[in-house]
Amino acid sequence: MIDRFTLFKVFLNSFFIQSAWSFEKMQGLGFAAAIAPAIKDIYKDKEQACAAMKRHMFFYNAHPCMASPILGAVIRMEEEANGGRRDVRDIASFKESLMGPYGAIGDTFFWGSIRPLASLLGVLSALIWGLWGPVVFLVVYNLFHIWMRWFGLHKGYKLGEDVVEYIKSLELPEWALKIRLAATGLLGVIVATLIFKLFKTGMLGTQHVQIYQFFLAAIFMAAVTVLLSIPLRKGISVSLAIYLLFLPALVFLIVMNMLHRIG
Amino acid sequence: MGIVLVRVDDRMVHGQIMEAWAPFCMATSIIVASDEAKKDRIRKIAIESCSSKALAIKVEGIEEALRDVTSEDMNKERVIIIFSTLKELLQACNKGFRVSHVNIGNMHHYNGKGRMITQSVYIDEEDEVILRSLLKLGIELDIRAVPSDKRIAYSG
Amino acid sequence: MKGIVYQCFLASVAGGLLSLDRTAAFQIMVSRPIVTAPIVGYLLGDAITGLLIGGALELLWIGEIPIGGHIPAHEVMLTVIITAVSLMGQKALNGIGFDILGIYGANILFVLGFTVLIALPMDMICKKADAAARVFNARFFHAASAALEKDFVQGVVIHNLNGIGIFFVLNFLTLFGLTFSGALLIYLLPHLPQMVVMALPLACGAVFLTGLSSAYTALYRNWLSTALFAAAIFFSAAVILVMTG
Repeated sequence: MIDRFTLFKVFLNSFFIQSAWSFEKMQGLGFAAAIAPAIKDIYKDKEQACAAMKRHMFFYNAHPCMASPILGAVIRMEEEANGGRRDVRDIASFKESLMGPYGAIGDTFFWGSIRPLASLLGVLSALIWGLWGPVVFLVVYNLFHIWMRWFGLHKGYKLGEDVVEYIKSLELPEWALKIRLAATGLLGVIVATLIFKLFKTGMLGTQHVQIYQFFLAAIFMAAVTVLLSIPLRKGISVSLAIYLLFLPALVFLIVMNMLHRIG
Repeated sequence: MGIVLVRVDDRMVHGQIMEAWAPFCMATSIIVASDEAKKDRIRKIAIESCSSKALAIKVEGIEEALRDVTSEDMNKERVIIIFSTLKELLQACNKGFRVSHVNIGNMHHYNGKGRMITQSVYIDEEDEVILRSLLKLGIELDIRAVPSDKRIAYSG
Repeated sequence: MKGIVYQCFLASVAGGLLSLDRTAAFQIMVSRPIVTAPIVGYLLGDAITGLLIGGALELLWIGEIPIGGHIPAHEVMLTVIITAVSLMGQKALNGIGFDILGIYGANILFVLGFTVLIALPMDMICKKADAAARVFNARFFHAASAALEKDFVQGVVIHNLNGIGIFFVLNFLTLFGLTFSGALLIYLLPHLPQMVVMALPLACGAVFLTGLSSAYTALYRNWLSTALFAAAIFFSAAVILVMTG
């Protein structure tokens, strides 16, 4: 058994899994560095420890948060290998078979749903409470992020390769769907709050807002959001979209100005 | 609707499939056809953990997968079928699997064996033989990792 | 001019450190625009304007995921550049009597609009710097392998952490160069044709609208998303109108 402090060191190291991210080996070095404290603990003999480390010096890449359950399970498997109860080839194949799917789960759950949700909560809070917005964003995102790093690692160590059953039972892709839907609703709330703020600061001309003006602005924003999403989904970058919106507006202004001068 | 994409990818299910191809094809179901993955309990569970109500993912043996994609209730689904190697795809074709278009995403990605076609696709001599016989079956081969990449057609 | 160099330096050091969070260390998301922009804003004397910029940029780059060949925009470097240049520009142009449309002093919307339009193409340079670090890092992998040949296990940890240094140096230099160029370019603003200057706030509008649409696109799945989005707008609009009378 490795002690708790060693596991804590692996936990800390897991934050540096992408420090030397390279196109060639991706998180390969980061993974090896993260697991190093545990390897030193398991293999007391220096040569054995080095041999074990060399096995980890390979291409590896998954989502940074989802590396933790894999790290935990690999530590357990290394222990078993040291006791002669496991073939070391299992460890490499375990890492290889998990990185694709777990990369995908991390992309969907963390990048595709938790972070957008946290961003939107942050933006909404910023509209209401100002500088508390970024704090709300950080707290919401890291609640899930640190949870996965910490519990993922410990569950992985406890369950060994069966951690895959545990991760499956969490149904993260299922939650991602629900969170994304909730976030879509939240975006609607943001649009309404934004319109209210714009009227209140006088940026839309009048501070005494009529109900029909409010709804006209809402319909305009909703329509632009939905229509603009069609080219964005087709792969137009947001930068290009900004120029494509700005340039016609500029041309329109110039033409209007010319007509005004002629007339 | 049936099959919307047939892909050869030695990484099987990963970000490119889940975040790029599945939305692009509006897929509702992914079938990984691989005898090896089917036998590997851990790999099977890991791949199936990506599954959700919107996108069901199953790992099946080749014969089983062929039976599944031709079954009645698959007509309602939009299916992506993934083979991990060219060999298995050819094997399926020889067993009566009919397809007109195959996407090749990742091959020998880890060991970089053979001739490099793109950053993620390498073909060795054995692959060339299989690719030629696939072409003879009238299958169109396009090599690209994600839908937004440039299509590279393989023509022998 | 000395003030500008100092402010560029300050923003680039902070930006360089915060940008490490994007890939090299932690990933606690302090590298997102909504956090980075107010911090840079605070350092340059205006956290609230920084927050305004950060909120807009956060929505803009909400859905960027590195998949396959797609390299996402370098959101943290662009955020630092846009925030620092617009705040510096606002101050600088105040001093030389920037007066358009009767708004005395550089209204942030004019400066921000201009900054966004000049900063977005800089993304290519930021991406190049990022890619350079990721190519260079392969050396550390090989150095770590060599350390293991000498039975030096700790070498793996040390060489791994070296990557942070590379990311920092490259990001800092890129940021400094680009913010400084941006700070100089902003002096062109008063010399632009008046029609163009008048249109600049529209660029801010374009950023906000594209941001909303980008967020919507990232979350979109099917018609249910559209329905929920529309329903949420009108429901919360009604609630706001009732609450505020």
